Amino acid sequence: MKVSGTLLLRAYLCLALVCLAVPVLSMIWLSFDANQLPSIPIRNYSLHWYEEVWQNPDIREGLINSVIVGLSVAALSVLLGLVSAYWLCRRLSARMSPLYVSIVSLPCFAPLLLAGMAMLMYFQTIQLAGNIGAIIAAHTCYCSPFALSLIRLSYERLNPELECAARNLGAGNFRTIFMIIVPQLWPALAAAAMLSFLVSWDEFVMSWFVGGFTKTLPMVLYDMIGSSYNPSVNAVGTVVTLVSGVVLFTVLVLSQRSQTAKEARE
Amino acid sequence: MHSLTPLLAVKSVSKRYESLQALSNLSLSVNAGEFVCLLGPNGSGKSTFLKILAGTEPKSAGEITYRGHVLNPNSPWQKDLVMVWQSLALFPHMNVEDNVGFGLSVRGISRKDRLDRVQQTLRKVGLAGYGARKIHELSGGEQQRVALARALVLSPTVLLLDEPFGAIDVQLRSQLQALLREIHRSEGLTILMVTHDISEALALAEKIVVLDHGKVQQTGCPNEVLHQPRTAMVADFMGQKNVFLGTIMANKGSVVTVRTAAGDFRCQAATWLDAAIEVGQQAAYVIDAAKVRTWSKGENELDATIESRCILGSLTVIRANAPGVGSIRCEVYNGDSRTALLASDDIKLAWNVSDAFVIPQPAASYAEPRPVHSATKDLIIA
Repeated sequence: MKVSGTLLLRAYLCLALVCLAVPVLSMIWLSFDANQLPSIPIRNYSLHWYEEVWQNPDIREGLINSVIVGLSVAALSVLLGLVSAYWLCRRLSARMSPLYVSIVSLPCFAPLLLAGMAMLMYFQTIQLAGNIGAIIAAHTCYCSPFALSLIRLSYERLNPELECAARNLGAGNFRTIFMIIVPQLWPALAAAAMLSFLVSWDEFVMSWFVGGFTKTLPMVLYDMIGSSYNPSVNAVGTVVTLVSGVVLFTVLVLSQRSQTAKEARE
Repeated sequence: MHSLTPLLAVKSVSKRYESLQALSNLSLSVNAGEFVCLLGPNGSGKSTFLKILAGTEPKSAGEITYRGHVLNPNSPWQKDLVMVWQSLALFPHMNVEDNVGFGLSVRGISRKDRLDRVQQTLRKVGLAGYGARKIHELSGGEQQRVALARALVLSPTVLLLDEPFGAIDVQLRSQLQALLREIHRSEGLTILMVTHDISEALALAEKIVVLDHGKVQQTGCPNEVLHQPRTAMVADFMGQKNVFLGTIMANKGSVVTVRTAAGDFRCQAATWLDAAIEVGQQAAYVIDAAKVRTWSKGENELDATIESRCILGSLTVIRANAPGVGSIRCEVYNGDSRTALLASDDIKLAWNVSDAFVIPQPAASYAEPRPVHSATKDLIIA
């Protein structure tokens, strides 16, 4: 009975993994097919579509925009997250903090479509719509609550007397933050930065609303699929997935490492 | 060493948290070079007071002056008061050298001078050669020394210590106490130390401030606080005295009669108290545990049941229970031939009028004896 139960569980797990992985893996596989209409089995393997992608100015521009947006969003979200975490953990009373969290998390809970539309209207009134700044602002609104919750978890575990001690030894706010708090929170800060980058890297709906003619990579992909079938989509998808995978893997390793370091210390 | 103006003058400082009055109207003066212990049970506000002095906790009301200048977190004088934290608060991502040198680098001391002073201080606390160690590689006692060194390296005028020896074993603790005494003597430091450990306060302090519920109960030298308590709380908290609550029934020719739940007892008025003794007033009747005799006649007598016996060196500490007044502590020399009689469970206690005294109380100031666990209390005195 026991054995068959375990077997069943394993089979279920394998099935789930296959279902999750097959679409992505087949996209990666097909991106190496030289044919105009990819088909299995692949007859001619080539990097033709990658070359195509590299030479396509639209895709290149989308890639550059996505990287700029991602990095900016990561930096801004971490900064906002750190400041908010400080307020939540050290300044706000226990009664106020749930209210604060609810307010800053609102952009995450609103349906993306509506959030995107609302932001477009708002950005138009402040004349920010239609450029890369608008995309960065929209993504930061969406990502910073995630960054906050990650950073807050670590901040809560930090001994408040460390900051008091630094102040008592004569350190000002700046020094206390960068010499005492940040060095201890860096795994959380790095994880928050990468998570924000990932979310921004994949985000399409809000970018589409507020970006105007500034296109990020997912928007370029959408255009490519929309007009006619273009096999270089597979290559672009592979690149996007690869970047996401590497970032995600780094986040996992980082959090693992900070956990073991903490345990070793205790 | 004692000048006319105190080094540190605290005038009616209060601290209020949302629903808690942590300190109310605390006043205190500390002279240069003094070793002051703030003693009190948990929640008496002593740590809060130290954090206010350290400049990391704002006060709600009152004034603190340092050398006649108003002290607040932004005043330049704040740098002269350096704290050792209860959790030690060593920076876990820095090694010993960087921890100790942190305050110096904040003050802009050059790297070479900094290293020199760090080495010197580490030698002073017995950690020469530990500079490159990581904090988590150190034992508890070593970490305490690092915390002490981090404060001492700044040559502060006032050293604030918040239960610095809380989490270490007794042997190591006495070593560190000796180190602290040595540093106090050699550097002429003014030390304010918070502790709930009575024996530690008695061993180290020149002046003890007993706090309870955010209020100063008594300030005085260890002998005064121990033998001449001014409030029932102090008499009870110091652990060597039995405190019965009652009402003053008579005051005739220096003998006061107090009615307690266990009967009427006679005593003398405490010479160190200036409060008037009036018939009908609430009062605490206090008798020293060492003055309670067993199985003998006396001017005051009480029948009780033995709860526990505990041998502490040359003493046997007996806890007896008498209906109405609860647990009574008495100390008997082991050499006393009567110790053998203690096998019985019933005991007759007696003491002289001249060994007991009375502390008149305003009705609300001391409701119930603090529930200190009796066994803990016995150990505190050991």
